[in-house]
Amino acid sequence: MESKVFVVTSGKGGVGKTTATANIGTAMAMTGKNVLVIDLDIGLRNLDVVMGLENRVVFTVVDVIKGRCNHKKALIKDRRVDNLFLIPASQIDTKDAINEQEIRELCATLKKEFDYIFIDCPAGIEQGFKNAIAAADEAIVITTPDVSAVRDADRIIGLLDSESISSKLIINRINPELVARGDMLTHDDVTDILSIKLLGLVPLDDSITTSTNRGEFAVTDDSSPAGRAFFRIGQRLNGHQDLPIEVPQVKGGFMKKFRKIISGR
Amino acid sequence: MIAGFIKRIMKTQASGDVAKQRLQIALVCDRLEVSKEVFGLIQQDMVQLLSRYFDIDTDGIVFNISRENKKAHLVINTPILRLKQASAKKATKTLATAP
Repeated sequence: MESKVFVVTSGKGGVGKTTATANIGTAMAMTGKNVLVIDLDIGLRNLDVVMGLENRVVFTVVDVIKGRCNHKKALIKDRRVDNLFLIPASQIDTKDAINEQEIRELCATLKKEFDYIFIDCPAGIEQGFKNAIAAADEAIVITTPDVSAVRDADRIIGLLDSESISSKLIINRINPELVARGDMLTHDDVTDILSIKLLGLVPLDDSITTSTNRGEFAVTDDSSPAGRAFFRIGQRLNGHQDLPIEVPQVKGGFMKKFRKIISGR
Repeated sequence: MIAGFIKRIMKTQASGDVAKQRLQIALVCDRLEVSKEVFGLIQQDMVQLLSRYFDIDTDGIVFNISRENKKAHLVINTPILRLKQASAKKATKTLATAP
């Protein structure tokens, strides 16, 4: 099977790129694929801490690119999930420390060893973004149902399009109660506006905060609705394209049902 | 909840719909690289043009931008009350004088 490089990007910061990268990568490793996640948010590294691997960082992606170590030395193997590896970002360099050509060469080498490579892209559209998309075969665009995030996603999709990189969309942090009340953009609104293929819908979920606090993966927790959504996204990327996309629903409960009746939806 | 109930009775537009409309306008300006002012002028001109031939309900007019096949489509949806008498007469006259 041909290995593939995905870039996880959003334009706007704080919409869940790093969480999505960690969880989708983990989901695919759980199904037996050899997965590498690379943090390219140079200077603002976070993927290591989100994955609970921050204490094991010795070498970074910048060390590998600058020839200060072999790439094998920078690989951190996760001890909980088989076949899952991380190459962390450097905290002391800047986005200009590396360039697009260097990333292309690095990914060409790594593609020989991994089935899937996920690149966590920094926010913004400057050099860091250009580096992150340089070697990407496909893009995963994350947005939340907010005007600012959707607008930035549109800009990112345009930029990816001009580089002939196809994108698929994840809408993160959907609050079904606000949607039911008409006070949040629906997933149909967002896909209408952005008109790209939908990859998955992830509900707003407190367990993302708690699992991130602990450096654990939501996707390995069956009781986490967002984790389950990320797992299905992983399966869709892993050849099960037709796996139905579940729309986050308002949970039961008397007051909520009552509210539903009152709001007439 | 109660606020929502009152809002529904008052028939104010849900904020989700407002967000969608605002985004659609903002994105067409972004994509076409025209300013909001220019887009406003285009809207005004279209209303003026249509008003020459029809009585239209200007409150009910909706400008929408959809994107298909990487192209933006401008869709104008306007309630037409009636054909303007003057333009109707002119049209008949033109027809009558035609050879």
